[in-house]
Amino acid sequence: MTPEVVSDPVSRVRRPPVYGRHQFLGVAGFIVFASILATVLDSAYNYGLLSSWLTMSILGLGFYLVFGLGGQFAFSQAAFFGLGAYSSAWASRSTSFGWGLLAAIVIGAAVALLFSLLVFRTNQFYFAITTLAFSQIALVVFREFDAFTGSGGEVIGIRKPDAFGYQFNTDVRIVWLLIGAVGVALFLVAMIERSPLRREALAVHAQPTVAATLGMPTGRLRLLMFVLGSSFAAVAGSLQAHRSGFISTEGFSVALAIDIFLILLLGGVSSMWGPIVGAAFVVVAPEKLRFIGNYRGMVYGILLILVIVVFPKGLVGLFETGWNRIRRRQSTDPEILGDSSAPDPSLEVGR
Amino acid sequence: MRRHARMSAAIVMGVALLAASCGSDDGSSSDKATTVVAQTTAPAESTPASAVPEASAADTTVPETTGGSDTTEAAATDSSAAGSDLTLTEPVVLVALVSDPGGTDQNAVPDFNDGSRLAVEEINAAGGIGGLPIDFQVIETLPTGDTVINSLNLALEKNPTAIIGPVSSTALLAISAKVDEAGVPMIHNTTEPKAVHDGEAGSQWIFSNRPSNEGAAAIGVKYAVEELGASKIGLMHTNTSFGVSGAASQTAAAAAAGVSISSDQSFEFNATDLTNAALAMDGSDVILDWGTPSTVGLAVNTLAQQGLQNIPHIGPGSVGFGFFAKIVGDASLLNGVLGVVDCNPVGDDRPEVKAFVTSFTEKYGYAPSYAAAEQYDSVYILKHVIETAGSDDPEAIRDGLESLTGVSGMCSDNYFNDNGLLNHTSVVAKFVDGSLETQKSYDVE
Amino acid sequence: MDRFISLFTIGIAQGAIIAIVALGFLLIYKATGVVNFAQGDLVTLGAYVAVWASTERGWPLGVAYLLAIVVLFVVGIVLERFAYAPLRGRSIHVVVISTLGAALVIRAIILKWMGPTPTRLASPLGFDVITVGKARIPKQNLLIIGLTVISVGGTMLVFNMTQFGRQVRALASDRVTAMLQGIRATRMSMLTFGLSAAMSALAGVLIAPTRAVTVDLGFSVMLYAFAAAILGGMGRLGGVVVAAIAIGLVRQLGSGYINADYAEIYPFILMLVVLAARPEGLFGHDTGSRL
Repeated sequence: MTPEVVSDPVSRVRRPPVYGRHQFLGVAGFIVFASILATVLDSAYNYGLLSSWLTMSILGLGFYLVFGLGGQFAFSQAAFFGLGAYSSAWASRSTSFGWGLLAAIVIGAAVALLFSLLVFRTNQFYFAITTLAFSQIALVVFREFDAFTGSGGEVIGIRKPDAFGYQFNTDVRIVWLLIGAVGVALFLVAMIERSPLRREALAVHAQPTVAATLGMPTGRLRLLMFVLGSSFAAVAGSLQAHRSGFISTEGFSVALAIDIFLILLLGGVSSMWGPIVGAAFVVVAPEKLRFIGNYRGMVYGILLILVIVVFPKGLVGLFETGWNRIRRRQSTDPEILGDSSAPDPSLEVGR
Repeated sequence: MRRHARMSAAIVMGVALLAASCGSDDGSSSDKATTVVAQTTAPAESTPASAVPEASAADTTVPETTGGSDTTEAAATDSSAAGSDLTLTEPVVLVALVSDPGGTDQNAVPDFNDGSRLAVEEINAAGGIGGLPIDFQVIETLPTGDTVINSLNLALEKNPTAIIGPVSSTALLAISAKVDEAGVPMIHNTTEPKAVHDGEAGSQWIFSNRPSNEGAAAIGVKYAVEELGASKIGLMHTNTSFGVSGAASQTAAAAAAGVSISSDQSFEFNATDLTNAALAMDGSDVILDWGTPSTVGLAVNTLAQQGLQNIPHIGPGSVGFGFFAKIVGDASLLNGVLGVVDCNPVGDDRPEVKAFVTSFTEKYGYAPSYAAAEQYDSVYILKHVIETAGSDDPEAIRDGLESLTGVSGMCSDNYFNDNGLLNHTSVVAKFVDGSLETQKSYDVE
Repeated sequence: MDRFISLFTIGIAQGAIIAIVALGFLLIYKATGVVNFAQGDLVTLGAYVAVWASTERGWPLGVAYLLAIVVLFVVGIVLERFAYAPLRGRSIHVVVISTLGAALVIRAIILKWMGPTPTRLASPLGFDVITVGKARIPKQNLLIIGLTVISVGGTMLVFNMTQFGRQVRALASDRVTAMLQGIRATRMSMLTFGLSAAMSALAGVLIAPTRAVTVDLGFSVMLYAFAAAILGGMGRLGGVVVAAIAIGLVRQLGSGYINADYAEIYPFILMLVVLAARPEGLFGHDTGSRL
């Protein structure tokens, strides 16, 4: 921190972000950026990477709601991704992509709600491990529940997405569909960011007791964020199923849950843009590390530690610092308080 | 200042860790290579293996046969090579999708890669295909969704003439639709039944160099009934589609042969304890075990601990891999274990196969498994098809594979196409003194 | 009945392994507040060190086992220095991601070093069994149970009776006050990481002979250890041990008497049911407390 920022705590408080317009500008900017990428990068390989990035972004955005805003550490995102994929593949067998997507959302949200109610009273680490248990159970159910998921959890020949008679049947068309989907997801998250929901969720997350004494519905807020975030994952699952035409349980394991966690942490847990940046890292880094062959896993792990040591606020934190530096030149306003959730003192280790 | 110190410490740590791991690798991998030699070619140790290769090959098989030919090029397709006068303007590009050895995929044994690589090197040393050396590229992949699609896309960017396909059935199912769309001929090394030509995920571009899983599973029953005189068969299998379809086929074959299934035990593909399944095998005359190498190895140990090691125990093809012996751990338990393997190169009397085994073992330091032989054959089959058609056009190769008949290779002496399956042989082999000995050869339907 | 005896003993032995891993994990958690996601990979690494020493170097099994424990003690300290110490004072999430990164690195090193194909670690008792009635029980299982009783008993003794244990408990209950009282937090955290990793190695060499050794060996054990820690209420060591044994039994008996296809998930279903009824675990009284 530079000294002039710390001068007066009161001056740190700027206009609350609710009144800004920057989120929507950001969403528009993202769509333009992604569209440019989709136009410039024209090869099946790059379309594949773009599609993975966009799908993982939706997963990451969902986890941002669950964890970044709701403050609930969950490993279940990968399981809901799988649930969405299998539900959608199942429901669209004799109908259409639209019904599949709807089924994914409804089933995903319903299961998330039920699960959340079941372990409603657990918190923190306990909740995290129950979600881990949930994902392990889900994986076995996917593999064994043949009527729903196909033999051995392998579903082939899932129809390509379509909307209003338009077939998204090529790689590039699917990229456009996914850009649209991420746009909608970002728009929804931006709405939440601009609503009192964000403030309340952060308050519940950072100071649960205080929030409760102020009459905030702490439980309901956490539950809402979990169900919303899990539905995002289910939507991503539906898109994944129809994009690749094939799903198997390998794609929904705890390894993916950890990847999703890395996406948010690497990108930056305190910003809705964190997951977008983090997803790009998690998708692109292993692919670009192909040339080092067997050392890939090792280098990836080390890179991860380095990034987290050097950029504690995630990669987005890096951009934010740069951005604030530019803005500070224009006005004397220091950084926006509301953008970084106050670190929860109880969550620090080794004080 | 402190922050900088911390950052640089972190970077130094990272570099140091990396350096340490690179450093440790060189030493240990060579250690490992020597162990593999010792394990897989154990019987050859009595004779100076590298000095007298022919003898060592003969040693592991039938002693009275004298080692036949001198070069492996006498192999495969030369008998029927019609168009050796073919000239191509562009080299044949062959891309192999192999399992990433840096991942956790247990299919990442070197046999697959080494098999096709040896064939390519031999062909290139003899002038390549159409006068140009084969451009051979290897792309590593994991069986999980996006990774395998990315790998296939990378492969397609090389404009491959043909693809030597994946060895994991999940990976195959994930890419079959895209291969079909891209129109590139592919020979893979899985038994996935859905990917045959008229299967759900089938494509006329996709061929397998392995026999069907159901067919091989049924041969286990046939051998148990006809050779071992079994009247009660115990089934063990994983709950994957491989294990379930294998057991279903075995149940049907047993019913057809008029013998009973005394017990049918299913377990998870990553099961870590098989005591319950092993106990249920008590009273069976023969055990057919359609599991992964890990579970079959564990079953061998558990059956021994439960006092049931005298019941003949027949596993699937994967017992033919060198590492299976490692999993079982104890040589006395390994001996007597049977497997329905696609072929048993070390136990094959044909002179060209002996020569292949010798040059493979010399080159890579371990004896080739059925998979190494099949991948080797795939390359020669492609060469044969291209030369016969006089073109390396994708359609020409596809049609050539479609109408493939009577080609002899290392694994099968009669490759022909039936519904996308090229290989129609299986042998029942038995571990004797740590290496596989062929008991009986079968044609697979 | 014979079948029940067999399955029951194996269930107890598997639960015992889970108990060792869970205690190792709790030790770090209590002394530093870190949830160490590399715990499972430390188990795997311990097993592989022993595999390397016994099969590739040909050293006697006892030496291999001891070597694994010693090496892992050092690895634990290295882990503390590189993945935790530079991050002290950061948010717990940062530390968790760092342990995840360390887990990936350990896993990659194992794969590079020993390869992805399964291998095996011999048991000092071979495949010997003892017979109880008609039930044949592998002696390895009895070895597991015996060594677990010794190491868990030792841990509890150390924890409750010694200066070291008092210091760990003091750090767990109020870190700042404990440090003001002169407890050397740095040395304590290095020591607990080392001890915890050594316990993982013990679990690794004990469990490896009962199955094929792959790079995933420790991961599932870690998941069950997490479940045990939570079922036991995080705090009480005795409670965690009981929960771990319960998990081993439920898994084994469930797979024997219900359906083996679902063996993996019986313990998790048990855990969800218990937590739905008692959110603080079977023996916990105050969720989130490290006491």
